[in-house]
Amino acid sequence: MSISLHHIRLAYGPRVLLEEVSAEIPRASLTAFIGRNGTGKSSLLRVIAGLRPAEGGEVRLCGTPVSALNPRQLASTVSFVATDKVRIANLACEDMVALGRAPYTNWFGRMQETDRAAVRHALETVGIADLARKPMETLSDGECQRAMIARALAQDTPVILLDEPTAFLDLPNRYALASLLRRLAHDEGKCILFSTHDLDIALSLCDSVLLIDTPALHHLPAAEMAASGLIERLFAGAGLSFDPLCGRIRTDEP
Amino acid sequence: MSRSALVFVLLALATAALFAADLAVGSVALSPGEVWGALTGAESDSTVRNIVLNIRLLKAVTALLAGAALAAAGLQMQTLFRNPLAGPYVLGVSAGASLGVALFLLGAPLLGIAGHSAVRSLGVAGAAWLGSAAVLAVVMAVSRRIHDIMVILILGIMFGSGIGAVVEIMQYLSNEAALKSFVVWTMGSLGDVTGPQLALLAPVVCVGLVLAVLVIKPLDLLLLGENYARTMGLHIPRARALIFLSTILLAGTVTAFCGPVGFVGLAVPHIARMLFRRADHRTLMPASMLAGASLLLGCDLLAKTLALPINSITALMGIPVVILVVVRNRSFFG
Repeated sequence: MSISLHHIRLAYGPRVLLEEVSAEIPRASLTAFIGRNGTGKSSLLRVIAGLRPAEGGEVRLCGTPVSALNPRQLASTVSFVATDKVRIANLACEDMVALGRAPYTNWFGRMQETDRAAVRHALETVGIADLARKPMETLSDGECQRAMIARALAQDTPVILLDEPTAFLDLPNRYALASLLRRLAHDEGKCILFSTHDLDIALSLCDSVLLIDTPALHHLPAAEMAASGLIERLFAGAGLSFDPLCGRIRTDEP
Repeated sequence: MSRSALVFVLLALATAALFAADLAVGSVALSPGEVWGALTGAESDSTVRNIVLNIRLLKAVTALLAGAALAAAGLQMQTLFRNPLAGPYVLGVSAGASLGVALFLLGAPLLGIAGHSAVRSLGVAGAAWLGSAAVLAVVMAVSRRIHDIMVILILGIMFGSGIGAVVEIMQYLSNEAALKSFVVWTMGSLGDVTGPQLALLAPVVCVGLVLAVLVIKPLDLLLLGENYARTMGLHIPRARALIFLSTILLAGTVTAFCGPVGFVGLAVPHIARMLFRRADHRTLMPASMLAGASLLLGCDLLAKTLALPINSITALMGIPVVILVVVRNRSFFG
């Protein structure tokens, strides 16, 4: 298993977010991570990325506990795309993507031919090879998000985590990005986990869905998740209901 | 030749030309031949040799090192704090160094530590390192809780004023001899650095500059923020410690021997960005060092010809750059 969660306990101050949750996510799969705001999606992603410890339990990446990996080993196992926009003046797109090669370059960050090839491949895969020399601050939101994904690809890790990668994008860009992630998972054998509020994308394009139902965590194949009744529970009391047949949310008419 | 290479060559030539000009210009009119003769040892007049080697060369080397040091320190702080307005002077690191020096110069006589000149140089430098380290630690601790550019800036300004007040109280309480040596230090400039002081300043600044080169890759990763840097394999505590050490050695030492020189650390990295239009530190670090060296050599030339204190000139040159940055890049690091 690429990502294994064993009895994870997650808390935010006195508030328990997740209690003794476990999940197994295999390689070559695209997994959506859904749940209401403030239920701990970002926190759990940060735990898996090794950015913060959990309050209990163990995360294993490709069989090794995250806590046992040194920074360089961790960086060659898992890459992370956060929500904050990266708009650094004068930083060319391909130079930003090249930062993903950091775990493999020497102290000075000198790029070898293999590193340059990895950067080129990453830019081509996400479809922004023509933007390579453009400075980051001139890219659109969609292009910027693709560049950040290219950086994660250049990092050449079996596991890629993304925190709400579709948040700032318009509808066509959301589907294009999710399709890109699906292609990467299936063609390149990556284990990709991304948090999202796009329910239809989660159910139609992903292999499986991870759902936080505080303090539990459910992991089901996308079709089973739609039929499980868990999504209805997620929106219970919010004046919304979920239609499992067409996979859509409806507002409850009074 | 690429644009970067061309700008590097021009910048290096400018630095060399300003260094030569700084040697040639001074209150005593000397011909270029006399200056050259003194440098090569061919000049027989001991007064000329003394002026060129013990005054002008000393001052020019100090300007070169101090400019490179302050610029390298400023660049590191701007990236570490992800704040385009960070710099050793603005963040209060220079003020911290001043406080250290004040404590030493005004406090040492009270404790009866008499001033042998070598002991004094080392004491002044050590006190400046400790003072700048203390301020840097506090600013860093606050910036980790509050991610607001302006808060950090205001904090630095408050530090500067607070430390100024403390120093005034100390001046009021201290005896005449100690007071005099401190006031002389506050007016200190590049020209007051003596040979033995340079023998301490030069190696320490060089260590700081070497450290600054060693953290080029960590600084590049920190452009994306600490979280991204960590996920790309950067050992954050180690990187931060190296950057701190480098900044303290560079800014603290220069402040200890040249007095508080403002705005070079803040403005020069921006000048380097404008010249090279790049963000990577493999370009910006050497570019800032060269630009800082030539800026301070140029300021020293102006100071000599106009007979003004160098601190006023660096402030007058730095402030427009600061205003430009504030107006143009309100969301510099997005």
